Amino acid sequence: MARNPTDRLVPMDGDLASTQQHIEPQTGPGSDQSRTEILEDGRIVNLETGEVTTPPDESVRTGGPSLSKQLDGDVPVVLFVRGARLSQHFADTLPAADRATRGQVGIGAVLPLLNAGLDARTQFLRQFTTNRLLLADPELFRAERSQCPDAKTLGPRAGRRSPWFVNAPAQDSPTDPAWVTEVLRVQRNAGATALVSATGWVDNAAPQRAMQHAMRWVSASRSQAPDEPMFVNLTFDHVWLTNPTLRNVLLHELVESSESLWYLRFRWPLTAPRFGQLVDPKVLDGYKELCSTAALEGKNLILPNSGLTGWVMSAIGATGFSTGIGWSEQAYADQPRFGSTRQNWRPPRVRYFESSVLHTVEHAAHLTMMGEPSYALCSCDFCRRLPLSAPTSAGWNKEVAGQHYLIATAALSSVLASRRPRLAAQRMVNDARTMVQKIASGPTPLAGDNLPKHLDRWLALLR
Amino acid sequence: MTTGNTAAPAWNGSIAELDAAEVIAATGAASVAFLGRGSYGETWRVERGHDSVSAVKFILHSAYPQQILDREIAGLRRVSDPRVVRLLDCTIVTLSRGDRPALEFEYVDGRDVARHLDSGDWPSLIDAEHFVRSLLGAVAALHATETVHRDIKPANIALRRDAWSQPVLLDLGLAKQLDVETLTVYPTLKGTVPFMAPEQLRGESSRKQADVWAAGAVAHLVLAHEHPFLDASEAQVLPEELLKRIESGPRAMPVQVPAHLQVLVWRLLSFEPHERGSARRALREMEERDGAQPD
Ligand SMILES: Nc1ncnc2c1ncn2[C@@H]1O[C@H](COP(=O)(O)OP(=O)(O)OP(=O)(O)O)[C@@H](O)[C@H]1O
Ligand SMILES: [Zn+2]
Repeated sequence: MARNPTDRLVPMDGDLASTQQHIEPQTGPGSDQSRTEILEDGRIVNLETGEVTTPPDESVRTGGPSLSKQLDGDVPVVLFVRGARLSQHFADTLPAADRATRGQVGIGAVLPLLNAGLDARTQFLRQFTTNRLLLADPELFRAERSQCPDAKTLGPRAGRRSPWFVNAPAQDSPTDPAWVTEVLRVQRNAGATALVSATGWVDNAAPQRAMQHAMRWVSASRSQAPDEPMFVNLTFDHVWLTNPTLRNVLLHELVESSESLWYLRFRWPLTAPRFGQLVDPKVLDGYKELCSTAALEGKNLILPNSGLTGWVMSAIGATGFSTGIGWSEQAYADQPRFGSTRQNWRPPRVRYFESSVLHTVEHAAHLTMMGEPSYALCSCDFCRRLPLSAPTSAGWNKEVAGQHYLIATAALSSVLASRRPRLAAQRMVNDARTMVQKIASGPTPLAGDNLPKHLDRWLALLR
Repeated sequence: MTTGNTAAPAWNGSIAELDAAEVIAATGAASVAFLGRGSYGETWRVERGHDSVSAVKFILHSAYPQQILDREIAGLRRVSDPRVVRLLDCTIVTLSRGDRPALEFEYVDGRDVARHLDSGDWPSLIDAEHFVRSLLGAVAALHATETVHRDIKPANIALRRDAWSQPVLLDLGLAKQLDVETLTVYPTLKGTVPFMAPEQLRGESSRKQADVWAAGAVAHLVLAHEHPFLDASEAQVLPEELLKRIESGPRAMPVQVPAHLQVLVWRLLSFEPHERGSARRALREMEERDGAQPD
């Protein structure tokens, strides 16, 4: 594979110190209870002697697949997106996910550049080892001159911090190598281990032309990174998945192009409830066709901001997906317009992701589920810090619950690291359905937003 | 071999515009022979010494855009595969009509597929399978350099030493290096109709997947001894008529053609470009199948 793109600096003293604080004993399922611990920087501590040793090759994270395996699409990949909240705990979350997945999943991170402070822009990704897939996303799809419904105009201050975003040319304007250089430079500076092309929203009004323009910018990006791993970075409205003409344009491009890495984001229709799953059968079918085509062509397809939909699609042919603790990291979707809806303000919900039903439920529903005899408490590093069995949500910590969600999602992906991922996923969804039925025969069935409505659709997809 | 002034007609009857003396003067060859005429010029076999034989294509059409030629050459130079004719040199030669570009290719010793089929020389099924695999390999190698052939047909596939297992893609005369920067659209029908993909027949731009289609049509012909959509007597078919036939699907292959090849060829002849899959994918599948089979 390509040479390592990042001539990363040696971690600063502060970085090193902070990673050393997050020593996590190896307690993940299947990991042997040896008397050593692995630091985030890959070094090994002997708990008895206190001796710190460096593994033969420092660039190799112990217990995780190599970056080239991840880029070749040989292992499932899960990328955690840094959100507004909780970014400081990521140093804990990634190694915990490594343990929970027994090193069978490529656990990486995405830094959305726009809202990241200047420090985060140079330091966030550098806290991780370089054998992770680390992306710095320039979020160009919502650049001002894009046709994206969420196009964003930055104020003068924010604009000075992100000139590459403000200066993003319209896709149909002549390619501007200087600007492309700048977009790639910010990613390299951030410590990305793979780049994404200087492209964004692909409009659907004139699909063929819009796609050709986008690919023109992709080749402009490629010519400035001939030997580096670089994802074709495109964002579409979901009609590109549902409308056959648009979908054919997209799939034709995927098959035509010699590019092997694809980072494709789709703007979902309004998805209710928040933290629910995408259920539109036409969108799901479109995703399925995209993923199977990618798999047949040997392309590495990452579906950013797609949450558990990304997990199902990874069973069908995508290499992986990105998700995060907040809803906007889990899904890129149309938002309800406030004022036009009759929705009243409601207090923020306390939620918990239940692997056993593949759904995020409210705290009360979680308690109900615990009453079901076959329910197994999550044993991840974070759930041990949650009052999972407490009768009220008083001591509940949203951030920790969010970290549990990330670990649980990664653990689900480790199930896909098998020769028959589709079958493995089918079993999980089937089990979830059985669980829902069991609870339904009890005193308090799952109802409303707590009742998963996507399981049957997923089963149909996985068949 | 002709060394006189008027070249003998090519095997297919085409007549040379240049004469042998002129070609000898322009190339410094010891002896030359006319091979045939194409849309932009003509090709001669040029022998400079005992082991220095090449095929030189003179671009006689003065309107042939230099830019296109340059791009074509850039693409060709990047292909280094025995299944694609090797470009040795590109020079400007002085002819009586003025200075013209000349492309010098390796001389492929062996007749093309069209001539083999015309003389009733069909491959065995085993040879045909080898042929299909190498043809897909040739297309994949070409595509890997972002070059599209756009005119794959039996006459543009030579068989090295007349062996079916050694096809060589010839005549990249219409091949252009793919450059999305130009967003090229072809308003007129180019290439040779019976092997044109539906998008080419409709006058849309033809891309790699059109080559995959053409390779599928050639594969069908060689495996089934029949064109997928046309009868032997229908060489002069009109694009609209062919498009209609394509819409109703290719004809069935004889039962003796192995099922996996039938499935593959049918896929290569899918109406939607993406459904054909890339040449690289088809090649990989054929190789995996071979690898999985005990010897
Ligand atoms: N490298 C080569 N080695 C041997 N013979 C060749 C070579 N290249 C071309 N020929 C032969 O020369 C003849 C003329 O080829 P040329 O490429 O000029 O035109 P064409 O393929 O007939 O037409 P067009 O360019 O319009 O498709 C053909 O018979 C071809 O088989
Ligand atoms: Zn947990």
